[in-house]
Amino acid sequence: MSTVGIRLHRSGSIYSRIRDLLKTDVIERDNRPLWYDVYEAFPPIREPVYVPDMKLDEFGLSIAKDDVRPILYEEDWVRATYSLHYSKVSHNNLKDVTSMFIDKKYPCVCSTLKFVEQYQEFKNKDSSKEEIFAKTLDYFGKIDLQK
Amino acid sequence: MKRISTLCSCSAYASAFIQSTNSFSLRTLTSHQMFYFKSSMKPLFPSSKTQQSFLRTVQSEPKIQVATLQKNTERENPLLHSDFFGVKSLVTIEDLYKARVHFGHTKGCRNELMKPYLFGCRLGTDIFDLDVTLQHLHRALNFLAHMAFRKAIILFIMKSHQHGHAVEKLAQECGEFAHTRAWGHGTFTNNKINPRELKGGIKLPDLCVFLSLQDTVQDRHLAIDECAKVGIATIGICDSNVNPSIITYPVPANDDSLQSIELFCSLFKKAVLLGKEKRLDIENSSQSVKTADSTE
Repeated sequence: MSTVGIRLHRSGSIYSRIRDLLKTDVIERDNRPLWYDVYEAFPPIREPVYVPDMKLDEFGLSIAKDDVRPILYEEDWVRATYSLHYSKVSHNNLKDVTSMFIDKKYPCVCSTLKFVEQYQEFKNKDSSKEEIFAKTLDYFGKIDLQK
Repeated sequence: MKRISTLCSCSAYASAFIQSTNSFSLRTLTSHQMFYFKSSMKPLFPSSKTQQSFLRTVQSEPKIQVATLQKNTERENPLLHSDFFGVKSLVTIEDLYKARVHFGHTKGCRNELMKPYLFGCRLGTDIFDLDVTLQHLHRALNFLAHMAFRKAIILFIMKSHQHGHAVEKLAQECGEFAHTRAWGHGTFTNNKINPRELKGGIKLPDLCVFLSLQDTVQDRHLAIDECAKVGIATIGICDSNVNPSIITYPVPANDDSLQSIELFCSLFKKAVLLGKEKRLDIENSSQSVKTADSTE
């Protein structure tokens, strides 16, 4: 495509390089790449200019700040307490993110999900969260949740 | 030509396509001799300024004429249409969610440049913002369909033992090329012969679609830099641990799970086929017009 022009991919974007070659008549208008018109009509959200990766410190570790917000929910306390103390499944299950994002339509045996749903139903302003937790435990005392 | 056929697993359609266009310059045919401009001496694709001035003059005229004029421009130039191929109706956020597109890598291997695409971090796992992903995906699919419409040579690239066959199958089904094996260093850049002349050299693709930017577990794919050096546009699915800066149309999404790769394969296939269908429709209609003229 380009026997003329710079081959250093770190300078500008592919669009700006071709555009400047066209502007200075190094490439004829007829020989422009096929994507050029489509790019001009529907440009990407960010111009694809090369940005190097962040440098590592002397120990080979990242020096970037972790400022991505954590995703937390109100019912996380219930989920954690139930899973830690009452669930028959091993505690490693807490690390399994899929069980927390699971779709309700799919059949699953996730007892924590059922417990949290029941907790949400019992929820009201008057009683504290520990009381509602105990109430939900009583409710499920007769039923085997693991099935 | 031999080299590209051994290099890429090309289907019968694609090889026939290249052989048929081998005798004359493919580039000039595809982009600049679009048949609906043959008769007129207008500039092929007016620049944005002329478009705007043109639209302004249209708006000052009576309403009925505006409607007819806009219809004509839409039929003539697909680049003036916002969604010419109807690509935006192909995928919804729910599809993305069910295909587990929102899952990124653990936060330990996060790339700083992927931060703007993230919704947050759930228990140590990065989660993509699917609204942002959908925006990028629509642009990428639209671009892909337009390139297929212009008879571009599209190369699907993915170095993965797990998903390689699926990608090759995708390329075969939509009549394009795939490269899923180890990448030879300098495949694009070490061309002794000018590729434009097509005298036994390799014809470079017009668009590369990366289904994963990773070569091995740690390294990024060598073809990304080579595409940028040679001036090939790229579409790439960027997971949260890669540098997306050089990709022309990045799609921030999960590139590891089977479901998400299947979804992207089907979407890319649909977009390419939509572009090709439109091309066939327009060619057929123009042929019928020509035959009608000759009979008269």
